[in-house]
Amino acid sequence: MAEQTQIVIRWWHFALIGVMILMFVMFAAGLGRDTRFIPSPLIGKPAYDFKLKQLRADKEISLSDFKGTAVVLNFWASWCVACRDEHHVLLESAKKYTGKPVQFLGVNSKDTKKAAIGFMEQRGFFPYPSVVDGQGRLGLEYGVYGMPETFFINEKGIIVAKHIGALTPEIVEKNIGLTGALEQRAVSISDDASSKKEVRQ
Amino acid sequence: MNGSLIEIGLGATSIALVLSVAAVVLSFLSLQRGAPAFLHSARHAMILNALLITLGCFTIVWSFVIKDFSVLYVAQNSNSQLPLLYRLTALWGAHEGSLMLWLWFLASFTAIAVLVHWKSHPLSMPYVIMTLAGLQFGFLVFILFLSNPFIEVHPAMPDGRDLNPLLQDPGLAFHPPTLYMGYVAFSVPFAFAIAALARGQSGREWVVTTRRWTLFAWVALTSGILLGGYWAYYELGWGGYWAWDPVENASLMPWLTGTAFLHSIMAQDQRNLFQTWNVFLIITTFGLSLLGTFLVRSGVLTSVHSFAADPGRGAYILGFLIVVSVISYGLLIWRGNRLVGPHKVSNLVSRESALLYNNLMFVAAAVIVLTGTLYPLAIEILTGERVSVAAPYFNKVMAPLMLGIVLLMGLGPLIPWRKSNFAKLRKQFALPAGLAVAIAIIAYFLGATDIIAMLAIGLIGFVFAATMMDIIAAVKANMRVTERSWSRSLSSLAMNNQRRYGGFIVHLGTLVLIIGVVGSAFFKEEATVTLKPGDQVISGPYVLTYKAITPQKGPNYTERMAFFEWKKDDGTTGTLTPSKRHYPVTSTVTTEASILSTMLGDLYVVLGNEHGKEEVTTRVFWNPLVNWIWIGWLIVLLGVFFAMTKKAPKIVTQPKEALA
Amino acid sequence: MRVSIKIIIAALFVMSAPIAGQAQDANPAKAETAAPKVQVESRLERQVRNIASLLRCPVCQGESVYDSHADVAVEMKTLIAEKITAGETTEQILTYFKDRYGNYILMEPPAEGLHWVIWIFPGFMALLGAMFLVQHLRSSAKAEQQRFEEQAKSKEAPGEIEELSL
Repeated sequence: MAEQTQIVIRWWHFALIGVMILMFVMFAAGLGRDTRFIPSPLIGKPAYDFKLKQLRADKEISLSDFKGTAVVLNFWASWCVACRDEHHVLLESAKKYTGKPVQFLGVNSKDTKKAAIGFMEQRGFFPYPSVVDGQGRLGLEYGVYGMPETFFINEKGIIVAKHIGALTPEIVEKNIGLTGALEQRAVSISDDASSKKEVRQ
Repeated sequence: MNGSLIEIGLGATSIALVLSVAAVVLSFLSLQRGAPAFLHSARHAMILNALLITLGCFTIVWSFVIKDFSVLYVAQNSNSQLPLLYRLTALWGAHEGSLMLWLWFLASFTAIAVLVHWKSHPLSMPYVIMTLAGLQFGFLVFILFLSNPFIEVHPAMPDGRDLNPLLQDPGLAFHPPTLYMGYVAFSVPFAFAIAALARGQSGREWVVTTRRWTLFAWVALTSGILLGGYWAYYELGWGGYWAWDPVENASLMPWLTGTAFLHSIMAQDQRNLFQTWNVFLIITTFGLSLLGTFLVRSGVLTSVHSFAADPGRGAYILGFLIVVSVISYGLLIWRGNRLVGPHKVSNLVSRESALLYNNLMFVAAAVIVLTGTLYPLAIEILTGERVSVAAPYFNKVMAPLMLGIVLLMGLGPLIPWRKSNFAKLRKQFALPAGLAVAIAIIAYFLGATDIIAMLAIGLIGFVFAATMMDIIAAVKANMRVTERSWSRSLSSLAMNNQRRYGGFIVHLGTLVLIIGVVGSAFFKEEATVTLKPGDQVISGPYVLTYKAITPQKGPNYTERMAFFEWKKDDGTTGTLTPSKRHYPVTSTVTTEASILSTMLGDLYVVLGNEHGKEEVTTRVFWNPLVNWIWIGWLIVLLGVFFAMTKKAPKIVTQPKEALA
Repeated sequence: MRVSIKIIIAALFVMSAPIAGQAQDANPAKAETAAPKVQVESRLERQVRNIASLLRCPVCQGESVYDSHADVAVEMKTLIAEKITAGETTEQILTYFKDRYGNYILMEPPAEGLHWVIWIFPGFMALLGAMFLVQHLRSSAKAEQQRFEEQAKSKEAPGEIEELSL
């Protein structure tokens, strides 16, 4: 029992230790991340142009109507829980960016008109139009996984950012900054110079 | 009874935490000071822990029974409308309770191991207790500080949130406990492996004990996996039983390495070979069981089955996993070479090398499943891209390996120990091989055009023929010598070689199971059709007529149930009633498949969307031979039982080894 | 197909079975097609299945689009059907989804770029394992042979402990 044999170093010792370290590093790196985040291949590509009926008006809207301004395209539905969480963020942001070259646009997907209007009646109407995307076909064009998802499109019609899940004021501000809409027109719009700095930051 | 009961459970579990620490310290002291009294105390602590944790589990179960919604876990996972059976099984309906069940198995197996092996393994016992108590400690900390099922809410909730509807199924009453039993039972051989490394020897008695525990764990894990498949088959409604989901993969990995161990331990038993390798396999098997827990509960991988993901919990389990691996693999590296005996494999064609080929395949299979499961994670960390590795990938890469394993199943058991050669093999296997080729060719002309299907069918024939020929030859030889009838010869042969014949039965059961897998994977018919009342669909040998769809009401759900009449070509008829259920409390919809199950195959009907006017989209499957999977499983159980009823050889402990 | 399965099964166990299987061929449905309408899965539906089985349901994260009942998956199946009707190939339809959802939408990584790794790895590993194993067995057989010879020479019990490098 007492005699000590030396440790004999073998190649598999290194293999075993290597594999273990590799796995544990990978798990540790994997722990903190958001599993819901899936990068979109559409970033940097032209946004799909559509022509759809509005939720609260009979006129059709198409994305190309807003050429020249940045567009915040928000997919939502009355049954989606996170849409309730981000509702006030959208209201406030839309108000904050009035008068700036940023157009908010809602896409009401896989919903009924009655439920969607009821949702807004209860929580406040969006100060911008929403289009109706009946069975979610537009959602497929935009590679929408679940709702809510928000696309940030620059004035040239290129998608510059996508956010999955509920928006926060910071996320809206950061991504609108990415569209470059505020930098260009900052000269002509004088009332809020401070926001420009924040955005560039 | 009110809130105070659950407090008793919390108290009992907290004392168990203290006792687990005490047991580790006491068994350590018993080694240090050579004082057996300490070890006696550690033993009592472990037995007491089993009782305390049983009490802890009981208080949760009882809270479910009396619908005590002041207990958070009860309020989250049951409802006043929930039937009693599901209130009982709700213990493992979510994360916290599942861990409690896990811990209960660990504590029970520890107590059993301590009681049963106390006399026969006096020198290993301190290490065994230390390891198992350490594992208990790890899980107790996790339960009490990160996943506490004893939390109360005041005032009590008026009603509970109901159990996940997918889990409201009789199949789920048995699947998780059996699976956990398998996972946890590997902890005992693991503890003995640690003891072997610490002591620098793994003798005859070590082989017997670890083999028995591993066999028990293996059979539980096999059953757990198959029950899970059975549950998925009739509850999830997509016509299949195995989806290569990360959680399923997590249970398959320890099964694969555990199976490898059960084979290679034979070489240690018979020829004193592979000692270090066997210890490595046990450690890896238990490590993979823990890894399964980590993958399911940390949120590192997403899966349909995932429990509430929580990075804090994930970090803890990862830490636990690292501690366990560093200690066990560290010991293996440090002292593994002490276990090595003087012998080596002496021939490339021999039973022992066949066992190594077997091990290569099983371990390779485990590695492939592991890499496939972790690949999306690795890619995301390296490049940020998200990819999926799902069923089509695993089916492609695993099929050839499985064929190799089936081939070895026929060859291995019939090759003699020590030495054989290719000439002998040719003679022994010429007839079965010819038969296999003939069967494969026949299968091809009858429609099995897929190369894998063809090979699989040929190999199944080969293994069956080879095994049968071997048994028949043995029986004939026995009859010649003893002049008995063939049945008495066979039974005396089997009873005198219980492990060998038990193994044959297990292999035969596996073969039957594989026939079911091949049948349902390669010869499945499926159709999606939209039906009006009166319309018919043909599936397999059946004609299915859609009659009507009506609303029904269950205890805690409402459903739309469709009525189908089936008619077989032999004139028999019957009804099938697939339905869609709506659970109002959780506001979820489940589809309930309706299955006509026969030996030849299953007629499987699932409802899709309704389009008004009783028009409904329906998926109809003809799944040939699915039942053979479950029958194969029963034969496997029988074989294991047959092999295990052999009394363990009594090992007389030498006086100098005895502790007291 | 139906008949052949039966025959295969029978052939596996009773070598003379093919005759037994054929008798059951007669299908009552074929005879009584007159009254009720027999619905058969359309070619389109089958094509949809083949394509939708290769796509992963974006919200379910384990099931294929074909197996899923989720709204997105249902809409995807409708779109696939439309695209097939419009004459698009499987390749084109898969690319359509890949361009919008990324590789995540495919049930298995495409064999391109870095993803070759996952496709080559199993074969590579099996080969490496087999090579190593045979090498190990050869050397240990040799060592065993030597030991045997030495033992025969000196007629001593095996003294030193040899290493097993597995």
